[in-house]
Amino acid sequence: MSQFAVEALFVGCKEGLVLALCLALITAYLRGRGRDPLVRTVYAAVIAVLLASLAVIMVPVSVEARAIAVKMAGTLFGLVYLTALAALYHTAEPKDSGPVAEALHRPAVLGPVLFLATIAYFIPDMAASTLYVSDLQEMAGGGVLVHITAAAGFFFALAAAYAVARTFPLDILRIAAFPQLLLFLALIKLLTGGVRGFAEISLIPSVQSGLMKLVHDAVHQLLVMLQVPDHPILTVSAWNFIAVLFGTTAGLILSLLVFLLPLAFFLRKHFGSPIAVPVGLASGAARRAYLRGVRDDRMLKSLPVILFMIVITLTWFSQRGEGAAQRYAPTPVRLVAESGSISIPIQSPGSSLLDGRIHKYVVQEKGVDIRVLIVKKPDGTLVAALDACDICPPDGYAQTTEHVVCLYCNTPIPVGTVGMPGGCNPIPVTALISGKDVRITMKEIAGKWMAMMIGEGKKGVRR
Amino acid sequence: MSFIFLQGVSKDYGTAQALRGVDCSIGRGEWVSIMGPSGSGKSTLLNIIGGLDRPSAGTITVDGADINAMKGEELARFRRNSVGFIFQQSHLIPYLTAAENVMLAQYFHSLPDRAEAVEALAKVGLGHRLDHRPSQLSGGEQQRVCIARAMINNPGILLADEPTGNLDRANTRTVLDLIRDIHRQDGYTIIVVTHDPEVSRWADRSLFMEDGRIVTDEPICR
Repeated sequence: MSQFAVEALFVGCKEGLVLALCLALITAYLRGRGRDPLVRTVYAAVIAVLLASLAVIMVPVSVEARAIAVKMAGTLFGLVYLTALAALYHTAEPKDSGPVAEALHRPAVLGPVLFLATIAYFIPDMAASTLYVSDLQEMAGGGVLVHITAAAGFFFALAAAYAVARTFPLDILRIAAFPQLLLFLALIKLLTGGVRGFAEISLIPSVQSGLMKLVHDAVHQLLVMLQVPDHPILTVSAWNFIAVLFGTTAGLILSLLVFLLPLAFFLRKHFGSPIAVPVGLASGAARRAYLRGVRDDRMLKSLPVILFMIVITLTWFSQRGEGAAQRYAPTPVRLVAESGSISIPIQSPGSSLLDGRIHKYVVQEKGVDIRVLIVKKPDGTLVAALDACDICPPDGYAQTTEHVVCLYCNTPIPVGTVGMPGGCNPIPVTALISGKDVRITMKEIAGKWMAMMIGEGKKGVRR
Repeated sequence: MSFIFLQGVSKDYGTAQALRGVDCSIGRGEWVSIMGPSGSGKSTLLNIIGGLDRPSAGTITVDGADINAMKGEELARFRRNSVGFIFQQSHLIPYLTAAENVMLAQYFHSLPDRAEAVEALAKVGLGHRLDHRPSQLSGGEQQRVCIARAMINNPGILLADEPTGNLDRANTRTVLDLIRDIHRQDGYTIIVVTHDPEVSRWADRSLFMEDGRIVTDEPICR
């Protein structure tokens, strides 16, 4: 058996185990709640997912569609997590059901919702794995062996897990109400992607970057609101201090808090809320037994939450330092202007402007080094900008997965917004982009660089 | 219908037969004494009714539940929730105070509650001895702590094995008064194993055992 077939076998086994584990949890929960008819709905959705995954083999799938499938995994994790949080808070302090909850109690609504939710939960991973197996098959030189071994692994794992579940029936209701079930499902998504897989879906880096930008903008907006020009009065030392707030470390810590705090608040409420003892309990022993029962139930129902917090924290630790390590900051390539402009070939030996990475160039004008960056945006177009913004000293930018990051103040800028003017964005420059090269006039970049250097924002900064 | 029902209950220890096909029925709220010579099977029978021991053969049902069919945790729950025990030796924890000994029973049942333990000890006349250790209590006081400990979880059944065996007349009287109060006020089903005919007379009914069998079963006339 080729190495590709062996790998396909493992991929199939993994997907089979994941499916079996999730089905065991979901069906045990539904049966425990006396909602047996809904088990059939879940099975129907799983069959739909399997058929859709098979269809992926038959039809050509674009690179963009693959990227969407990977992104969906992260988005769905977030959705499951947020739904679990909402449900946790509802159970911690039950209120009158709103129209949504009431609608969900109707079988005519709940059935289709469960059907669609099951499909949404399983399909990104299943489709991505199927695509991966197809890639393996291509690498193996065609044939059906790779697909057959993947299918064999899948059904073997499914059957083995089913046998285990039959032998050791799961009493999930002891430890899980609906929100805990969702947390388990989120955990499975997290763990079966592997902790590295979690990094790939960019959940923590995305949250981290978003928070960093939020804090950065809040600082700027506060100073704007106070009508204080920030950079002239704040020295680089002050900025270094402020930058701690939206630096990588703060972003990482904040991203961890975003995940942990809601759960911690839930646990506080869960354990801290007083227990209402029913009036009918006559003896002290009955009262104590009731209190003990409620406390035990609270303890057991908190275990999935605590487990989730532990795994998130471990994942977070595995992410630490990756932000800095993953930054890509190439040394600018020195160019010489010809006929009043610079020309950068789109394809050159060992380099392509279309590779998705930032490309930096430096050119001299009247003894001043002017840096330019070029990057391919997610929409596939190339964009050119100065390697500097209007606000910070021109330290330039590095690149992470989805952002360019200011090397001075650590502000992340989504790659998609490079080319837009203002704020912390790289100062856009007009470029003539043909199929062969990117051409920028010296007048354009020198003018903007000089304007940037004498800008209001640079006056008070000691460099 | 019988509250406690035994049918053909036997217990063998190797070749020795402690119980030989005991049949017996005890109603809810009844006070039964079991008398007989040493080795007649009284304590064995009491232990089997309380789920401390298992019979070699036969059936025991308590309030309709077959306790012989109960597995470990279920049997422990039965003992914890449904049965209070008093023994000739107090079996109090020597390094815990009277209140803490009672609270220990609460802990194994559900949750410790000192206020409730204090109330139970006050009920048996030990409100002033709460923080005394067993070694600082008289035999009668220790036995009263045992009664409070046995009753604290409101079990409904009280099984007492020679509860007054180590006590003088005055303390015997005090302990029996307490047991009578429990019987009358709370409607407990009480089974007392004793050698003492005086103690036996406090019951509604007396069983006499010999060689692992019940040989007489008579109501007590007062």
